[in-house]
Amino acid sequence: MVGFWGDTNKIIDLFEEHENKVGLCLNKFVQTIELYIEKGNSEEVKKISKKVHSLETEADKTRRKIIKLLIKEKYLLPNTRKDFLNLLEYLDKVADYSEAALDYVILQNMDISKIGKNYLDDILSMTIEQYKLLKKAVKLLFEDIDEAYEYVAEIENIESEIDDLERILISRISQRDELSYGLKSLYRDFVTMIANISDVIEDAGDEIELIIAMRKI
Amino acid sequence: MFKLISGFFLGWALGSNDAANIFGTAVATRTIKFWTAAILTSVFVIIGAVLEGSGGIETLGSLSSQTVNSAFITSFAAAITVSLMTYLKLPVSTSQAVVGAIIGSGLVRNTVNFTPLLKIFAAWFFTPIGALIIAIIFMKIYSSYIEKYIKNIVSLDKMIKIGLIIAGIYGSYALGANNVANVTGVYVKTGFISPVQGSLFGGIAIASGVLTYSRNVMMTVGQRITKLSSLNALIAVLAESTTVYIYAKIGIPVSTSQAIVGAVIGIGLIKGINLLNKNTLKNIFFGWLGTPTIALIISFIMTNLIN
Repeated sequence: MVGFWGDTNKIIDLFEEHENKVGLCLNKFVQTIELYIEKGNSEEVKKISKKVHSLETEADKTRRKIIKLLIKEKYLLPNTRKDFLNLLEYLDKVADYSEAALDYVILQNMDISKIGKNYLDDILSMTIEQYKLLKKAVKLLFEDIDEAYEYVAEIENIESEIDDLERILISRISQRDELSYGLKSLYRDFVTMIANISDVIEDAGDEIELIIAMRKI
Repeated sequence: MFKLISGFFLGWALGSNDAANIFGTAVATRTIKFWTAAILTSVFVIIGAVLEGSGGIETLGSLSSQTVNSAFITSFAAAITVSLMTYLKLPVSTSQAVVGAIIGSGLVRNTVNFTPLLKIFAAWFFTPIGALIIAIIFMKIYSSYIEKYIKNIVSLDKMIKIGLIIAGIYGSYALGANNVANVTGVYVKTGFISPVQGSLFGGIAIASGVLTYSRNVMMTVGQRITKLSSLNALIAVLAESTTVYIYAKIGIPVSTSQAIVGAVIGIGLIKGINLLNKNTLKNIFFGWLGTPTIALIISFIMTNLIN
């Protein structure tokens, strides 16, 4: 809708584009980790991991487009621009953290098949579910802010469940005598890195909550 | 015309201080540019002064008879008080300084009519309280009727942006209508200038202060108000403007600073934050008692010296 205020839909479209790229990056990351557990540091894994990197770069490019637009367009209040920039940073970190966790595994050529596949699968699938809710919450900021609140609460619940799984997994790793201290440490860091993705999704949810709260009487 | 210079000085001081209570929020949050705000304020202050400034002029005129000399001294004493207190960073209200100065000069000349004072004091007392109540009413109206229709951030931002500009224009008009009496009320009483000339001259004097010296005060006051959200700041400015406009209709010049303080406290009450601390109360009481007393003393001494 181009009118007196300029093209107000452009910001909404770009946010959606950014979320989609980050979402694809997250999905590809999960796929790569699953394949890595199955086949180790194979050529196939290296090939897919490149896709994770390129999606992260594309998300970054869209983020820069949004920043340019936020600076240029005048219909948003300065506070809103600041809030959107904060939200954008959190969204972008989802891709950054995914990329970093993948690099951590591949560059160190870690064997993660012994970490606890079921727990890892649960954490990863819940993270994907959590990110889908975040996408809906962001979309609702531009449609119905009251409804966005409900999604934020659900995002927090999932983060809390992932935290529980993270603790159980780390505790189990620590108790396994067959693992060396160094390997335990690497595994623990990897599990923490994966759980951090969920934390940053929750941070984005908190930012949405703040955005809504500041616009209520 | 030289005799009008102290009135111009007073109007300039008023404009440089009080524009902040109207457009401070919008400028400090960079919602609109300073120059846009300054020009809008100047134009609508003059329009408000010319169209509806006569009520306050009449009230202030009824406090004491004036000669051109006494009008000059009264305005000068009030202007000195406002400048001194601004310099000392004390809370200041031009309306209260002018009343003090009129009484100070009138006491020396034995011409004070104390009857309208009760009405004026009551108006001062009810300015922050009135703004507080109006802010609460506006908050309730917004949350009950408007909030449910504005559901997305982009529309909300547009509404706030337009609202801040409209509230600013309304506030400027109310400021001109209400406060022009402070600037030229005493001169009109002498017959030296007509009410229309007085309103126009006073409006221009206030506008000169807005255009030349209000930027810093706008930023300081605006940042203080915008500790609230933009939406709440908009309601505060609307409540302040409405309060000042009501007093313009009644014909009593009041303090925009005290009106905005009352409005902000009202918003705090609704949001469950107690913004009424000792310092705020001290500032309000100082405005009621300290400002007119200082102006009275300065005016009393100056009138005695000249006599």
